[in-house]
Amino acid sequence: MNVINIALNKFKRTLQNKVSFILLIAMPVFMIFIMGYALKPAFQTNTTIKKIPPSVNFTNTELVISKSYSEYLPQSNNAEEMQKLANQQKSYGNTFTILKLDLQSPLKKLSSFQYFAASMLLFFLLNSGIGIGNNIINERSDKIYMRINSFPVKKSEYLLGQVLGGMLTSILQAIAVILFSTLLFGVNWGNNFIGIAVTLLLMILISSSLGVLFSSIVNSEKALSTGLCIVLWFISFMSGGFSPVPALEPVGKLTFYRWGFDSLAIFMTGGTFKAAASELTFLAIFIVILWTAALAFFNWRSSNE
Amino acid sequence: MSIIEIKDLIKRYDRNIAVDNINLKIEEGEIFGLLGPNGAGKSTTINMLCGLIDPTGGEIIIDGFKIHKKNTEYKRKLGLVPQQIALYENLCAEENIQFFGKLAGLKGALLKERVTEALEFVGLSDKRKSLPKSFSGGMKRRLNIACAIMHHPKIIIMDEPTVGIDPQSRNHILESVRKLNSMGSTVIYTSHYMEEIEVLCSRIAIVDHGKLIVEGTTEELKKHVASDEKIKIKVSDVNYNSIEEIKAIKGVRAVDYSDNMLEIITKHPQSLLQDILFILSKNENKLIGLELSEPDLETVFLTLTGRKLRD
Repeated sequence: MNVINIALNKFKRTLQNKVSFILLIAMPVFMIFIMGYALKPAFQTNTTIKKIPPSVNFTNTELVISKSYSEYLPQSNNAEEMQKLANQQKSYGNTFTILKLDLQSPLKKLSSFQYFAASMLLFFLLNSGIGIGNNIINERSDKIYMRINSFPVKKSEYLLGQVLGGMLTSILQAIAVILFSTLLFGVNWGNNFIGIAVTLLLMILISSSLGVLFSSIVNSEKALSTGLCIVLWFISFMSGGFSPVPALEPVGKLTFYRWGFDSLAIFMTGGTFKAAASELTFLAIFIVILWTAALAFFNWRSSNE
Repeated sequence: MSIIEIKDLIKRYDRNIAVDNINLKIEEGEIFGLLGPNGAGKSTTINMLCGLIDPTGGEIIIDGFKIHKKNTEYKRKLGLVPQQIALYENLCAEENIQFFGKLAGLKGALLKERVTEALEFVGLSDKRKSLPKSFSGGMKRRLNIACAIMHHPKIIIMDEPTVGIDPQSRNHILESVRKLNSMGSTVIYTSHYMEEIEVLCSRIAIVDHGKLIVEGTTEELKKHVASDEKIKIKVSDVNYNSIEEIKAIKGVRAVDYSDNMLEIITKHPQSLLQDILFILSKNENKLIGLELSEPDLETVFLTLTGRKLRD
């Protein structure tokens, strides 16, 4: 009951701050609109040309695909691409120019609005951890945490309540953004809502762990907001969250933001859990590592306050 | 019967010893005062009592139960009024008490009843729907108390509950403490205002630098300095030489100077006054006023520690 009381208390206080709550939903929707509209042309044409040298064994269309396209090509697209190449080969022989898709080709089925709906939702969900962290710091400095601890409330109950309260807000935010993006911009989130929900839940867990971790390391809300903002903006940028950056692709692939984004893209384009297995696994492992660190630091901080 | 026993309590932060081997017994039904200047270790002791921080050594037994990290059930008997105003500014008075009442295990009709009772007790019934940010300092302090007592705790710990408030609110709070005690609660009251401790508490412990200096009733403590009297001399700009020369006079127990007031504790004020005035005159210190007074808790503290209660 303590967990639920603390979670509902946090959620209630968030809702009571009407301006913040509206911004929580309005900002991502606004960003989807701005980015989706502004970068729409970039998602419409693939103009890079590549000449296949004669030495390439062109009868092996799979090899051609792997040499020509980004390895992010979803399995479901391979058959389609192979057919296209086979048709080209019939007409033009083994040496001809083919279109090389740009690095976003695995996501070429995503429109600009789809792309930015996914990326902005992830970005703002990751930032929700700042709210959790700031609340913990605030309650610690205002001695509310001290007061709560003077009641029969375990530290674990307090932490779980804080995280759950933050998660409730994030879930509401996600539902609102998905609804508004669908209604206003016609964003197609696919049919695999369970996949989308699992991915978003994993990202919310990452976000809350970062909030708890940073709140145990720094002393002020300002330090937490600044520090976590810098980290999240950097990771989001590296992962192509604001705009695809081919040069950063090798590094961007290694970020949790990218795993979350790719997982969402797979589900949005009709992919299955099997197709997103590696991304979801990486996310799960990362959550375990982050939460282990967050709990260790939280425990140390609360025992020595 | 002792409701709280503190045995060989130690709290160490790296090389700093915040609480240094404190031993105390607090009897059920009394108002127990913990007196000491800022940084003496009062709040650290309170935090360990409430299980907020873990002791480095020693043990605390509350109502027969030894405090342990994993055991939180004993906290049902506690009500903590922290030194800071620990309230949610964006929840109204009623909602604040409700939230903490739920954490104490209250629910349903009993919770509603106790919330109303707590608001009436602290005189904030007409402000139940108001936000704390609209309250005066005294009202916030009263709400701070209400959030600690709605579950009728057996032990109420009040950590400097009257800091920074007007005299009227302070008197209201002191009266509330007496009422709570008359209703059966044991009260542990910490303060650096000796006047409050003197009028309120049946027994007092004086702490300084983490150590227990002395413990007993007000009368017992004053007996420590029974034969001492305090000479208070109002002087502008006493220099270091004057203070050192006065300290060196045989029969002077303690000397303190702050806010243009020189306080000297001695058994023989009449015979030493001449020497003291000669020193001040020789060093060209300007005298403004002079007073002799009976020993109080401030005197006890000054005698035993060599410094004043208030920084």
